[in-house]
Amino acid sequence: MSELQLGEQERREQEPDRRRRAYIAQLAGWAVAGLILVATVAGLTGSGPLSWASASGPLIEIEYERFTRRFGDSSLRLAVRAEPSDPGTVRLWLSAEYASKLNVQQVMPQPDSWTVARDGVVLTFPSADGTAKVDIQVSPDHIGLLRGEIGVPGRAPVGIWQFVYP
Amino acid sequence: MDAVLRAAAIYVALLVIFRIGGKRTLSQVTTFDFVLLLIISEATQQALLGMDSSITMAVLVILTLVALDRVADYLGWRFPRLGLVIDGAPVVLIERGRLLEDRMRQYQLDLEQVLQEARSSQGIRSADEIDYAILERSGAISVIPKRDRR
Repeated sequence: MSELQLGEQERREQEPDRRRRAYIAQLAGWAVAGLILVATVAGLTGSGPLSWASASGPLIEIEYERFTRRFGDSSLRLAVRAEPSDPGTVRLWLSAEYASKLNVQQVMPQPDSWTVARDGVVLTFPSADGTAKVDIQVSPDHIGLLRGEIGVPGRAPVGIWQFVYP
Repeated sequence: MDAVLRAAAIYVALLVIFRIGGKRTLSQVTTFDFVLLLIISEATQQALLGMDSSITMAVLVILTLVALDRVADYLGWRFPRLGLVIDGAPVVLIERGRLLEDRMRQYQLDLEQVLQEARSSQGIRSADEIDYAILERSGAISVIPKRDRR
């Protein structure tokens, strides 16, 4: 019976030290994969404890996801207060560039109007007690760092940044 | 350009994931392995085509994947060491009837799996009828029977 014929390189790969190197490379690969999975569960790719962040400014508090994915589902949770001079209407301002990249899917509650302002969009919500909790469902159409400004018209906006994975 | 970039990214990601997963991942030993393979193909579909269901997009993606595969094949042939990284190498599990325990341990294989393959491909009844058993690059196990078996 003849010996098993292997190619030159294949024969060399049977040696114990090569086998060990291959094994270590495999383990390293598994370690990296494991880290990615752990990071994902922790929220580094969105929807997890490490992903949610909050910011606040004059008359507004924002909760948003620091990490999200392109065309993935994400949301902005806002608590907005009306101007003391006009307690029946709550107004929300989003910067124009941010609004266009956010790809808004739904705003709960439905705003009374969307108005295009100088450098952004203004949403108005009628309010019984001068406050409004607004939930904006988005599906960002952008890759990489996304900077946005959200606020109440006439007051300083809050700047936030998000990272959108491709 | 989007089509090409998506397809290239998915191709590389799949290559890396399956290399890390090891040779026996998805070698379709059981029905479940087969179903898993189908589910994986479903998972990549949306990422490849996005919201574009045009014929053009589909053709571009397929073209990119096939072209990348050819390039990988060529590079693996032209630069054997690169071929080693991309495809791996066959590993001898049983040499001249002798079981190589450390190799089996590295790939989490036991004799039962080798015997299963031996039964289905060669009609071999027992381990002493096996001359060589090799874990190929594809994850399949090739079994060579002893010449003088009855």
